[in-house]
Amino acid sequence: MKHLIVSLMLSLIVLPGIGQLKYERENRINKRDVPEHAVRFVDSLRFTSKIKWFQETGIDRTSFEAKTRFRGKRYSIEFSEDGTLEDIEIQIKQKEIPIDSYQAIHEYFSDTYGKFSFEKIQIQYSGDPALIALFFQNGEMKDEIEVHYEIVISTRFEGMFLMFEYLFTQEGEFVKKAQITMKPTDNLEF
Amino acid sequence: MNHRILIFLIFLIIPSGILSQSVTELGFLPSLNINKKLPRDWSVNFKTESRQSLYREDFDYNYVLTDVSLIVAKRIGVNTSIAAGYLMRIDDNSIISRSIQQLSLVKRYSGFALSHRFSADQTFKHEEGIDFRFRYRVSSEIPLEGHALDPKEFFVKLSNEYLASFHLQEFDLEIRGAGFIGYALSPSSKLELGIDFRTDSFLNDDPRKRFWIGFNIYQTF
Repeated sequence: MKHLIVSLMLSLIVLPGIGQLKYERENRINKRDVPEHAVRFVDSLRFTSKIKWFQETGIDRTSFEAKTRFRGKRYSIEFSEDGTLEDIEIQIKQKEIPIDSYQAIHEYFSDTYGKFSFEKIQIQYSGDPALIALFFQNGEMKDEIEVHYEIVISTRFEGMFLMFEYLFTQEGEFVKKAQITMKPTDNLEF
Repeated sequence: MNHRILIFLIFLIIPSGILSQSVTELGFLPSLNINKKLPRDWSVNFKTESRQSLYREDFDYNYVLTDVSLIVAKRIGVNTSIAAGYLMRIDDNSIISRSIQQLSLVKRYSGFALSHRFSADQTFKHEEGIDFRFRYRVSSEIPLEGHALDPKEFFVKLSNEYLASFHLQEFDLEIRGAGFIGYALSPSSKLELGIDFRTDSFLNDDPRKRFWIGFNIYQTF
């Protein structure tokens, strides 16, 4: 029994220092907890699959996100805390990026890192919600709709394997980047 | 979320229902894992695991052994790492040494993480020669809230492992299956509680079936 007590005491030594930090987190929420006009906007897009709602809470902001699949693709529709549309993102394959834009993006990454791998590519639509709704309902694309590519790559940088999230314009011009924090996976490795 | 809990319960109930009929041993297997990140994608993992028997033919508490290991790992890709280390197995009468080598691949998908671990180890037993083992483990971590595991959230971890062992020209196969319910205290701290079922000796003999109640603590610095 003394070995059991030692094991539990070892656990308690580690625990007090944990859990005092604040982090961004994503919670599954009910549709009724989402601002009404955000729900109405998503309903107007006439998705056929189930829509899952999430609340993302960060240090200084809260947002709502609807996720669904439509015609084999993953859709993510993000709203601000008051339910204003921020953007719609659709996961795509690299061959779906127009060739000129793809070449510009590929050249940018090759020049910056040499070797790299695409991990995730999303096409992002933002702008006037009415125009975006029209585009998704009828395919009518207005110039006022902004189109970007959000791309996650993995690469080796300064001797370390890292992941970055990039935003490019529709033409393949760099807009911004952020390093992705890799979560520990020690409970799957050891 | 509900269907994930259901999958976990099915995983938990079916094997326990079937296998509890002929369990050879039942015990407690708590472990403490401390992982320290080092520069340039190196890391070092310290693990201690204590094995305590609660049932073997009869209910009776017995301390069995303690494993203490130190493994050095190097990331060789975004999702891939290699590692090597040393394990010391301490029981009431002896200390056994084991060398370990492993390759692990961990990929995060939307809604779960999947890990493949290939490893080999060599156990050096006094006057009994060397025991060689080759292992493959597939495991998955499934968050119960959202598409990614965040702090203060529960998750399920399922794993299945196959161990081929060679000792003095004798071959044996061990199969392990485990189901844990976990809680992420922070991005770098996790707790897990669940069951770990192991069966071996079934190729040439009556199978030995062991059920361990596991409680794991993982802390990364």
